Amino acid sequence: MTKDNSLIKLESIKKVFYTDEVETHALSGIHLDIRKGEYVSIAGPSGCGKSTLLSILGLLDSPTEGSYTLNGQPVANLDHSQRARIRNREVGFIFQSFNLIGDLTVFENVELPLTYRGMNSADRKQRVTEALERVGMAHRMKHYPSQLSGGQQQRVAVARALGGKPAILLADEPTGNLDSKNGEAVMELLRELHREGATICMVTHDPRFARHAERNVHLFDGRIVEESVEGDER
Amino acid sequence: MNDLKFAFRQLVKNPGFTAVAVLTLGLGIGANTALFSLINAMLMRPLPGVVEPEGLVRLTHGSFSYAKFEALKAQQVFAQTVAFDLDRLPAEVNGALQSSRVMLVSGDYFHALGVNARLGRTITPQDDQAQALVAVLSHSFWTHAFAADPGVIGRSFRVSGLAVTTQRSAHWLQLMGRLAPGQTLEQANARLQVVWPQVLAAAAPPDTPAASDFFRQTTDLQPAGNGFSNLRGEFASPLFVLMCLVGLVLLVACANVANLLLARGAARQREFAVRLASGASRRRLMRQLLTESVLLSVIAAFAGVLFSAWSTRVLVGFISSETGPVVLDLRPDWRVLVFSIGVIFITALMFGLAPALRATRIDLASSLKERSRTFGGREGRLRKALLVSQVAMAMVLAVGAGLFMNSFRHLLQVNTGFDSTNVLLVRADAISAGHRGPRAAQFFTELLDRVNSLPGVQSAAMSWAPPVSRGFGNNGNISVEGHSPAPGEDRIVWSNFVSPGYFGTIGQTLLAGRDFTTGDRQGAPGVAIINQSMARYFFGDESPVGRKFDPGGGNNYQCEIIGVVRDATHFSLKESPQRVFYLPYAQGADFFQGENMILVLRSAATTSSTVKQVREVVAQIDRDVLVETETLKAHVDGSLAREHLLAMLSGFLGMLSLLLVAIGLYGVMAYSVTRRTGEIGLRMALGAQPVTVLAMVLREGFMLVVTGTVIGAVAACAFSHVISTLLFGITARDSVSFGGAVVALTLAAVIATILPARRAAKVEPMEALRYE
Repeated sequence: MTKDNSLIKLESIKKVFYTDEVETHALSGIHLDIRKGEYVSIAGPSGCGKSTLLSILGLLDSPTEGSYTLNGQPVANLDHSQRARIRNREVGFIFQSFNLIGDLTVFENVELPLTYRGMNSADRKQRVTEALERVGMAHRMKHYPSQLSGGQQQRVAVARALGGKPAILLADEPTGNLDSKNGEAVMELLRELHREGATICMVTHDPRFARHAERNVHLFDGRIVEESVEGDER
Repeated sequence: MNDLKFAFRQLVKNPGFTAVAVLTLGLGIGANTALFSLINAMLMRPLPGVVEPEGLVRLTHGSFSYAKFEALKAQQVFAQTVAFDLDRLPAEVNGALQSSRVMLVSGDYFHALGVNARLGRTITPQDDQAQALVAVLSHSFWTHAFAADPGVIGRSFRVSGLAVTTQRSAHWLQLMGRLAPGQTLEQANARLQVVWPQVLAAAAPPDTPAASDFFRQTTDLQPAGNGFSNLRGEFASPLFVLMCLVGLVLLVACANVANLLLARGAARQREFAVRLASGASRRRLMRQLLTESVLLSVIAAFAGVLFSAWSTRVLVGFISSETGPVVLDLRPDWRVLVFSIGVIFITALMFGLAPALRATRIDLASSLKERSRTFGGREGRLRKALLVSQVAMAMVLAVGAGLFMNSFRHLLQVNTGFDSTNVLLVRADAISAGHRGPRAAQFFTELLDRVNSLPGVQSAAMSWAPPVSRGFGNNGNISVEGHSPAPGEDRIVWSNFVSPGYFGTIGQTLLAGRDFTTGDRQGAPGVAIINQSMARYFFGDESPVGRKFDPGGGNNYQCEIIGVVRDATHFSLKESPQRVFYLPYAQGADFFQGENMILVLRSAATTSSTVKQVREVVAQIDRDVLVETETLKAHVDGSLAREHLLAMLSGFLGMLSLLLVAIGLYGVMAYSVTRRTGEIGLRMALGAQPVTVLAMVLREGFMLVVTGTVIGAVAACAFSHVISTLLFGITARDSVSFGGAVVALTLAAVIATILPARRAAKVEPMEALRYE
């Protein structure tokens, strides 16, 4: 791993939640490097801190301690506005529950992050069309989410994440609300994206899907307890 | 019973919701009840104590002479034909004279009404022929003046001026009839039209030319079961307009509560799902929810009754004036009761039905699951539709308020042509005290002299009609020397009798010629002062001073014009300038047979001591003469009671509707932001800046307001067209009123939306994942 190739670097990241005299240590000294083009899965039992780690990676939350460098820029202590800008340009989210907006069409859902970027209409249209074609949903661009199956909705969510050409795709249990067939299809899509050069970090508790990644990081009680490279297992 | 118990428990469990809903609905229901009570008392309540009041009819188009009454009676159009006149006379109360209402009635008046005496007897037709004067006391006068003494029968008491007022020819009468059994108003009216020419012929004064206006008089029949009231004509249309406006306010309030119930329904979705899953039918659930709505409406109605009792008195205060208190029987009757019960149930249905239907339309399978995979959807559309309708109604109310207030402002700015500051009007009832002809002239001359010498009085004068006479006055066709009228030309000019110094006292500018002097008396050459409008009409650009005219419309040009005064408001502030000539009161001695003069005085400051001094002067001349005083400013303001009522009440209703809309908009936007926390968090996660989210929420709020405003503006155009006859100085499309309403709604929208928008902008993106 060369320093130039590093996309994400977490050092001694801690996250503590304080609620009514109770102190919950969600993350306790996480060190993690993710290189450009890498496909990393984060696995672990429920409550181990997977989603908290993903939130910090996606700048949705701030660590209590530690440093976080994204694409060479320290991001742990940025203000709301700067974090929003980086989320918009550098990060693409794929959620377990798709999180599409019901009042917007497929096209508008995918277009949404690009509008926040201030991109002009023609460029947005081109990007959205490309992203939807990439996930095989271009023919449904005028539909509303409620008119789509769960698998199709997740494809649209992937297209929304791709549309901004982010540095990294963060996927939080992307198959959690899908049946096995649709789950497999989405995983195949992520794998294809990885093959084309996308950097992906995926949280999953399903070992079958974790194996799709190059590198598996295992969390337990807020600590990385094991790291394995998929090639090693083979 | 269980439904009621559970409904009560629900309302107690949510005191905030209950308080807002009760307050909102209470104001709406109370305002409606108050106005309906007033309309009921003024326009609908039948005469109390009268047998079959629906059988009473009245003759329209003014008042009638005694001769006409007798001629009509002889034609036997009705089962009974009666005449009466209402006057104010000084009557003896506890040993002193007090201004009292006195009705002079024909002999079969009580028989026609079906009213019997509680003590003694009523007046009969035999009394018409008798020389002795008899009186029947109303219950309130009997209680007030005789302490309800049963021994009052056969006693005499003093009513000053009766000797004058009992002359039949001195009265203009109201005529009323009781329909014969089986006779309809239409049949009676048809018969009346047939016999009316004969009535006129029989009642015409001797030598009345056949072509004169006398024989062109017409009349008609109207139901009289509700009695006679000048207020009815003046306030009927404003009250109906206000009834429409308070109805709109109630609708706005209903929309508000419906929105609150929709939000509550969404929060209670799982409760309803569990009830349905436990075997409750949808109808059963609807019954439960509608019971809650009716209970809420009943509680609000109780609050509304208190508001109504207070506001009705305020409304009557608006209609009353210092010298003309309005007495209305505002006790609730069956109409008010039916109206109130109807309002309670209709209100409950209006605000409760849609939320109940929506709340019970549940997909059990999905409602019992926690997870939702998409944000947004259609559930907020009904709330938004309600809000748009609220804004539209508030726009109509705000435009209405703007139009009436702007119209009132124009009326206040009318150049009256006189200066009402520090001018006092004194009405001394010398005629009722028995002063007639030369005695009356002597009384008023002495009064004028004494008042003129009072300290602090700058000038004093007399006038037959006050400025802004509100319908009181005299007019007729005149002939001007050298002016050849075109056939059918309108030569009608109004006239007034004034004393020297009148114009200077009220501040009406003399533009040319001279004022009256004491030399302009009986026996001296006839003189007149005319106003600008009359001068312009008859003389164009030429000077009218020195020209002559005949006030009676003949060829006896004995009245010389000696001056021209500036136009001054004659009847009402709404009128266009009238043509008026003024005659010196000293040249109209015959005039004092039955009319009083009004004393007008200007002082450095109109204080209670000035009023006291004037009263003392009148008492020194004759203690039996009753005095009423009023500042000229109060008199002018009193002429605007109707417009004042409309402006104040519509302004209040406009403000109330804006407040309700602001509460409604806040509720919808706050609920929307709460419901969309996940979506907003997602947008933030995808890179939306806080300011972008702020703008998004503000934009959504404004879109609702803009939509409602556009719809409301269209409705307001129609409404303003309907009320255009009540406006003054502005058109029904007055841009200030429409623009003001838009600005007011926009301000309300900003205030109501900014808080939810700021809250939305502070949503942490992590919320998106929490909603996972």
